[in-house]
Amino acid sequence: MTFLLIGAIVVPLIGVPVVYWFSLLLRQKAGYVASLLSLVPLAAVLIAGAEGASSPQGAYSELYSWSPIGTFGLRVDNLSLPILLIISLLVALIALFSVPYMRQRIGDDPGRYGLYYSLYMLYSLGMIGTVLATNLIEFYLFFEIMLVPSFFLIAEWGYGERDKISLTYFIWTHIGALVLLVGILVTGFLAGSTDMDSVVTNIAANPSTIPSLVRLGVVGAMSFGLFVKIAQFGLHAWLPSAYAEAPTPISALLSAAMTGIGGYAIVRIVMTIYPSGFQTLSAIFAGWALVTMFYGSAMALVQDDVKKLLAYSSMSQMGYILFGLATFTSLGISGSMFQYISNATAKGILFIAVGAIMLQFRGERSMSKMGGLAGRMPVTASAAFIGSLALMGFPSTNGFFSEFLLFQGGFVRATTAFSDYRVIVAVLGVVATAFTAGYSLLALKKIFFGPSNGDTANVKEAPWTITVPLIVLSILTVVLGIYPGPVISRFAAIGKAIVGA
Amino acid sequence: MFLANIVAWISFLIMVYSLQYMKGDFGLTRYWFFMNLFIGNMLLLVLADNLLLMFFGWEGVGLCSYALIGHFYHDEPEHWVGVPGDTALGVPQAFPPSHAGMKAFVMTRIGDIALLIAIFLIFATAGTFNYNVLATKLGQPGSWASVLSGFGLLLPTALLFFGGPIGKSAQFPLQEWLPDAMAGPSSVSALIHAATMVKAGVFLVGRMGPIFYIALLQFNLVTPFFGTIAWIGAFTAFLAATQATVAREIKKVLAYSTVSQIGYMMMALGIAGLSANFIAGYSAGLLQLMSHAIFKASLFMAAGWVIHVTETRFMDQMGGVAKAMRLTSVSMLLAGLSLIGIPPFSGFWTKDSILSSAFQSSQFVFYGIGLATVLLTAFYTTRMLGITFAGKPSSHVDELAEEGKLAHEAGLTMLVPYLTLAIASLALGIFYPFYSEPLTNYIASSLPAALSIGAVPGLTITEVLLYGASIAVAGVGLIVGYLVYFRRPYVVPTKVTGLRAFLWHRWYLDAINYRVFVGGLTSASRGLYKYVEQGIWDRLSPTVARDVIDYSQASGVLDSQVVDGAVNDLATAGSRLSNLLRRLQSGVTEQYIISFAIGIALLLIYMIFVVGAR
Repeated sequence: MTFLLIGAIVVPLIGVPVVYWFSLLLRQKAGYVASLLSLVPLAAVLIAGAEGASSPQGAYSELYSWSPIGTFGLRVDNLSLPILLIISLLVALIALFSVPYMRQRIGDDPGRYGLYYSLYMLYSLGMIGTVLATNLIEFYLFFEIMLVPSFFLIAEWGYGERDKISLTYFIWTHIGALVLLVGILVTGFLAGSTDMDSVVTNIAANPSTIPSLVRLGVVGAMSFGLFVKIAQFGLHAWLPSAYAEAPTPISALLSAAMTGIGGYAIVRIVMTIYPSGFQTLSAIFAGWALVTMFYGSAMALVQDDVKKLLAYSSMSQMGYILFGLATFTSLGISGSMFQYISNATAKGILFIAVGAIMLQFRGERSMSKMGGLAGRMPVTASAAFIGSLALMGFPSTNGFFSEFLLFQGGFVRATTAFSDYRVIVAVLGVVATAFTAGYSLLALKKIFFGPSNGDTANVKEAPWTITVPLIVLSILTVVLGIYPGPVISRFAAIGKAIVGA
Repeated sequence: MFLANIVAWISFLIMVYSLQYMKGDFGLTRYWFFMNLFIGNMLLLVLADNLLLMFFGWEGVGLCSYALIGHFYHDEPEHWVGVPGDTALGVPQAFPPSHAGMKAFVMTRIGDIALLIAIFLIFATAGTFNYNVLATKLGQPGSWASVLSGFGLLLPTALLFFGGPIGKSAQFPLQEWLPDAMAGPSSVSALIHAATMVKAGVFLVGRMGPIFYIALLQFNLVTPFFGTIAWIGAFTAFLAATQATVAREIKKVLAYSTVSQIGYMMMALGIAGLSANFIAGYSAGLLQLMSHAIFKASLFMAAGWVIHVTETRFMDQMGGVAKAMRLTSVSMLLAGLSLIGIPPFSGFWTKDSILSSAFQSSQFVFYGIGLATVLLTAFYTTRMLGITFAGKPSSHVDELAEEGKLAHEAGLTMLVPYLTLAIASLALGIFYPFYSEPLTNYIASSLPAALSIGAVPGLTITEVLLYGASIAVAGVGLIVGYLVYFRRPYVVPTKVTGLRAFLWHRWYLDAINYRVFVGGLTSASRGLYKYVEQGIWDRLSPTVARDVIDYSQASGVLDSQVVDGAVNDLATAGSRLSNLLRRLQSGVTEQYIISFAIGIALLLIYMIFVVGAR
């Protein structure tokens, strides 16, 4: 037994008081400390991935006894490894980005920096823990740890009516989490365990323990809870304002890393435990996802506030993730999970780029007042361009492979199921990408090209703490777009295991 | 295939031309980056042996096209395309480069989506992207074609596939982006929007056309598919040629002409499927592609020089520059004659093989449209040459001369590329009878065996008569154009009415696009935003939030009066801890967070060290 993955949890936790103390000394520069500390989970996960490479599922686990609930397990496998890597990378990069951004937002008060970075570390802990969890209760615990700090981060440093917005965010996602908890508790009660592995084996050994109607109900409840997190149409009311009004580094984390965890959880929990139940409902989910895709991008098309545009774009991208999962094919599932990665890089880039513009351009968020910034901020413009291409699913960015796989999954499902409905859904799904191209190109044009519509004379390129994250993420976007093999093969293995083909 | 050769050689010449043409412009690194990326992607597109890799190149060239059209992204007025202030149906008809680039990207993207859907359907049923495997799999029982046909999706798949070429090659109804793409530098127009990228659509139809032909033949669906291709091609050829007859900008004339010529190629490929002799139309279309790439690139580069010297994109502000730049005007004349289709230029042979394949397969309607387009082509080409080069210099050119900016010949690095291509166009025409048959056989060898039957018709009496007819028609157009535009100075019509306005505003198609699609989509989205998003969801959330705040205030009162009393004693212990923490910071949330973190820490420590790891 080695204490490796527990380090990915404990180090950020110890980091909470540590960065607080550093903040008192260093003020905004504590962000460097936070960034360095965030590299520890990255390293731990990498080592764990290497350790697990020899096993068939690429799994490496650490199990701690956790009476009376069961085991407190941490696992890195084919599914969680790429996602953990991208989360910890984003956390480290966005901590860097926070340095200049929160400097502008906070000013000189060291205590406030301490609070910000403490919450930041706690938030990152929540995300990493959620992905590592092997126990349903443990998952729920981390799921809520993720929510609370982000609530305070929005409430303290958000824009606009931040009290109301953060509360709305909290209530919606909390209710979602509670509905998820209902599903978890019913599953745990009926299967006699909350450890995911034993739940799966118990149900497989004795399928009659859970009547099929209850099974559908549980799938419905869990999916509902997670759909709030991935903001499907009708459950999305919290998202646009929360993303738009959160401080930009937090918007970036929310949109790039956190939201998609809902999609990950659908694969990890719902589809792994109840594959057949999910399959039964998948036709409805596909339609729902399609509505979300169209609705989100239509909303993005008419926004003038660039952060709101990105918020609605996130909603639409989450529709893609569910779309892929709802195909219930190995292709679709691996496409969806890859979509998580490409959304993480693309949204990370775009939110950081927007943050850079707000920082250098007096907090301006209205696109109609920008224009011609490409010459002033070339690095930001290039990165935003790459990010937009990934969003559009342009070949040689990772967005292409994710969308290609998940739509291909849709068509495979349609042709194997001989369903006209599925064909139409798949075709419309591809059509939805036209909207994405529309709003991304329009935004690029309004922000970076054309004559300047505001006083941009003093706007200059952002400092290295912003350009370095942008460059790293842009490189990652392109590298994964050309050489997606290592990631996709892992996800494909998971997809095959779930679908059973 | 042989397109790769065309791409590589023309690219080389255009890059040489760019060396000087782009000198002193800003963003040169970006320019060279995208030009090279473009050539790489174009070669990838052409050389790929499967649909997926082809699609990589396909989208890559689209990206480069977008970036290069919008090269002058500061949108200075001299880089716009269209007459500022001009509107059609209330839609402005002048576009800045950044807008033109976006328009090109979005419009081709619409075609690409259709293409992508078709690729998905093919892969979902065939399980492969490879062209050869797709072709051989057709012969097997239960092939992908029969599965698709079982869904009733075979013809839709083929048509959707054709959607990609429609967008990329600017065919009706997605042709409107190409004229505005002229906002890019002339070298870009020459390379991307004349010689190579816009041909990708023709290439792809050439690639997949035979495969679809075999697939559709099994289910008697050949006529609707190839009929659609031929009709779209023929209609586009005519449509764009009419628009070219009234254009004011020299590059726009060339752009309309490109659209029109690609229409010819599409028509040829369509006729190939409609006729018994597949190879005749097929090779005619691809040979036309080759000769057009050569003379159109030459025309664009020469036009780029004229624009550079006269500092205007409007032909009526040029005029009479032939004397100052004899070689450029000769080059333009040679390439222009090839465009018109005067023997012995290469344009003549390839265009006439299209016309004769239409005639000989009894597709007289297409022959008629083709012939009408020949007339228009001769007319607008002569008009362009006349207005630009002949007659007296315009007042604008005189003004430039007074400022000391005399019209002069281009430097060698620019002159040589376009002169070479113009002469190549002549040479290829002269030697056409010698190489046409081997080349056709070479093209035929790339086809699946089932289709390489038949041969290029020899020189029969019908053929000679057809040649005569098209030369006569071209001659009429040329003479009319000569009489109107060479002999008299050109005056911009002050008022545009009737047919001229209809043509000038591109049959109002562009305006309708903006009105119906862009406008419709935007107002639908706005409506959705206003009534659904803000009307329902946004209203719901604050209500929830407010209710919760009210509730917590109410329960807060309850809490302080009832519950607090009971727990006060317990809290005393806690408040000692809080007091300790309060020294560190102020505010309620800090305490909450710190205690939260400490709580989790304690929990974890308990789990790991007290309960023990197992």
